[in-house]
Amino acid sequence: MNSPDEDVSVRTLLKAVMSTEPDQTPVRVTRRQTKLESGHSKRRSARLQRLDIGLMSPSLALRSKQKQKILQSGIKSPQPGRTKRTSKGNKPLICPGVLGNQEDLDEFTPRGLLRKIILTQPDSSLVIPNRPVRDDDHEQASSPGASRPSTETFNVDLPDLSTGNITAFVKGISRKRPKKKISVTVFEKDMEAMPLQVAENQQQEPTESISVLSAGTASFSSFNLSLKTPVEEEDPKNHGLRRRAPKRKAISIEDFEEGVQNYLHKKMAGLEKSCVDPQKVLCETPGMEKFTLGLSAALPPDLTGIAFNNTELFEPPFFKSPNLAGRNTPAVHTASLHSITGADSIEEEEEEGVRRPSEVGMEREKEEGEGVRQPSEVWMEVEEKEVDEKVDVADGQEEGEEKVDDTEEDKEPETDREVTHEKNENQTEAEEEEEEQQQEVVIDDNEDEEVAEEREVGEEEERESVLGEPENMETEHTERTAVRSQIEVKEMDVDSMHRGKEYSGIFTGNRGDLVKVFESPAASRQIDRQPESAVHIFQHAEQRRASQTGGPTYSVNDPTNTTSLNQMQFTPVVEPSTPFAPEASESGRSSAPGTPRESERLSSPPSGGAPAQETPQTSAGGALGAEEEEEEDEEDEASDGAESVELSLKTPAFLRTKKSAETPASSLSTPVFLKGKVTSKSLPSAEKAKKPQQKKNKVVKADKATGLPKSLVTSVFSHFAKTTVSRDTYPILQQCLDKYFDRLSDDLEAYARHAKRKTIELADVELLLRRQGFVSDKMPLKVLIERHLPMEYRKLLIPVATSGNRVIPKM
Amino acid sequence: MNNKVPRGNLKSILKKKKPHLRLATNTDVLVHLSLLLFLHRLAEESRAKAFESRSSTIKPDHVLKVAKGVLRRARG
Repeated sequence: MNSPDEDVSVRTLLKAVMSTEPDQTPVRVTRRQTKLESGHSKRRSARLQRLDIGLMSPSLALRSKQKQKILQSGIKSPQPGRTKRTSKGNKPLICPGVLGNQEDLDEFTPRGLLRKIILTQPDSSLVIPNRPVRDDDHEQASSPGASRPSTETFNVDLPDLSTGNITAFVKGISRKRPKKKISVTVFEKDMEAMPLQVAENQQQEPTESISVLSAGTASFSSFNLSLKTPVEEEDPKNHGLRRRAPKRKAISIEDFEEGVQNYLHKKMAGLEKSCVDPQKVLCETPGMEKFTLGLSAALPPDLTGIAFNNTELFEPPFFKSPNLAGRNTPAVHTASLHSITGADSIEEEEEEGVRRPSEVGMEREKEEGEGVRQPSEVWMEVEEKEVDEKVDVADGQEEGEEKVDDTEEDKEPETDREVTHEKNENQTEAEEEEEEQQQEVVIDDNEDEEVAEEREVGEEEERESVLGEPENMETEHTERTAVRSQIEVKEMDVDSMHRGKEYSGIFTGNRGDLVKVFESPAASRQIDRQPESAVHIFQHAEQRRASQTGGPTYSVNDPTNTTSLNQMQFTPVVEPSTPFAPEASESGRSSAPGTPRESERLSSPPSGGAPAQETPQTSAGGALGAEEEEEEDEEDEASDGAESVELSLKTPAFLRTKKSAETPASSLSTPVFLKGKVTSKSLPSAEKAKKPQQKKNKVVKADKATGLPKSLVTSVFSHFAKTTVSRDTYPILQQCLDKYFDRLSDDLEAYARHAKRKTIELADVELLLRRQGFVSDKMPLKVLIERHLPMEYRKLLIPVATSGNRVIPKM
Repeated sequence: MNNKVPRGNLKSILKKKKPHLRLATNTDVLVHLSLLLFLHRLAEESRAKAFESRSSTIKPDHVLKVAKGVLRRARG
């Protein structure tokens, strides 16, 4: 008899099912029989079975006969498949000892399977109810199961059981692993019993049954909590059933480290056994090298390399002696002033100009005081005076000082030289060339001693005067004028060559006042640009002279000067000087007309050597008005007259303001910090001059100074800039564009003229673009056109071939 | 973006500067192209200069400093 615990077990349920099953089987299982009895019943003799057959239908009778045959064959064979659970298929298991009976026919039916389950699984159940409850249920279940034979199918029968059992049963049948709730001890007992059952289960063939069994065992094992995994015992046999990945062992850290170390040991052993030890010394463990990166507390990191690295992006700019800075300011100031033609600044210029001649005058005075009046000296004075009278005050100063500069004196002159160099660079390279040429000439001269003294004196005076106050200058100037008068009287014949050389030497001197140097080439260039500079300079000279000496001489000079300037021709150095030398020697007045010419000539030689005056002039004007000069000189000499003079007055002033703003700003040699200083200082003065000029321009030209609409310019620029552009930049942009237009127009004109045309053609513009560098072999014009111009204009410019042998635009 | 080249403007400018010169057809368009390229270069340089002084906007002094160089480069 089964234990009462298993009343609700699978066996009982199956029994109920089988009992309720209709007459489908020839075998009738009496309810009275318990599990064991059923087992026994299966061992019924064939005789009994035959008795049952008699009551069945013919089909059933056939089946029973077949069964009997099988059984007989099975009986004959001594329990062949009892222990063997062949999973080869659905081989009928012939186990007379176990099954034996007609029930073997039911093997493949669910009924048969369940029967087998019942037979082989006495102690397990799919249900997970409480055991005491189960007993009651079992009794209840069995009774209704026994009392209610139904015609329903197997599948339906199960749910007919009592509700309590149903839920329990359902839970048990569910595939999920039920929760483990039950004590360990019971479980372990069952576990011990399990292998027995497993062994029994092995006899049964179908995997399904086994799966059910396993589920059943699992359900049973679910009652107990344990770290053991009983089901795993079946795993090696039922690999196919496993749905979960095989469990992994929890690895301990110690094991891991051991493994790593072993691995490393193997490695190191393979390489060098000696290395292991030092590693061990340095690191915690060879295995831990990966984590410590080879660093340890024993060795601090070497930061010296990092600390002493020079992280500066660029070296600070090297600036020269402080004298330079000191020198710069007044020089810049003066330069800017001189370059500016603002009415306001003229007076300042006059003062500055006064300074210069005063300085030179001082020189001469001292010279005279010394009583050393040598022809050279006198000549110097004369020259200086002439220069003063003529074109630019600065020239004379330069002459006087540069003479001094010819010789040694490397101390402060160096600074001056540097500054002058800067100034020169600002202006043009040609001027340096000129100076070089002049230097060569100067070297030939040998008037060193006295000249040197004079120069020294002059320099000192210069410096003093530069730093001095205008009052002193005025006094000096008055003195100087007196001296001048004397000099005029004492004018002497001077070698033209000598003078020329002297003058050249004067101009070559890199020392001397910055302003002087700046002005001399500027003056020379200005002179070269006839209308602009000459008139301007003469205005300066006039005003200065008028203020000081009330010079009728100068007034006389003016018309002559202008005319002479206008008629200025560029001849070799030597020639002009000779004819004018006697003129100069005649009288102060007479020298006046000669002097301006001489000044011109003299300035022109410095601007260029005898043979190549035009080229240096062009090169001198290269920065900003070279082409203008060229063209003006070549073409407009005759036509300029008053018109160009007037025009040039305006434009050059404007240009000059822009230039002045630019030149100090973008000197290449000055260090950056000086650049900033220079720009800051030049800008205010430039802007001051600009404003009146701009106002004039605006009034006169009425928005056509710029030409292009401002909106266009701003939009284009901001588009190209891709970043925000402040509003203040646009006036500067306009100026840049103006300048650009000037250049552009001049260039185009030159190209057209070169082609002997009077109209500017597309080829001219293309040539311009090519020369500007915008168009190159790598960047063809058409690409640029397509990039930047709107569609309509592209069509105009780029010929497009269309059908019918048509080309647009017409070529 | 502007889609019109100020041809009239350009022509008038050139006329003012060089009254004796004539312009062929469509030359002013190319002149405008050169103008655009010049502005482009100017803008690039000034932008670089502005970045140099770590300011995202272009200030007039940036343009000033750059202008001379660009003008010099862009002379024919």
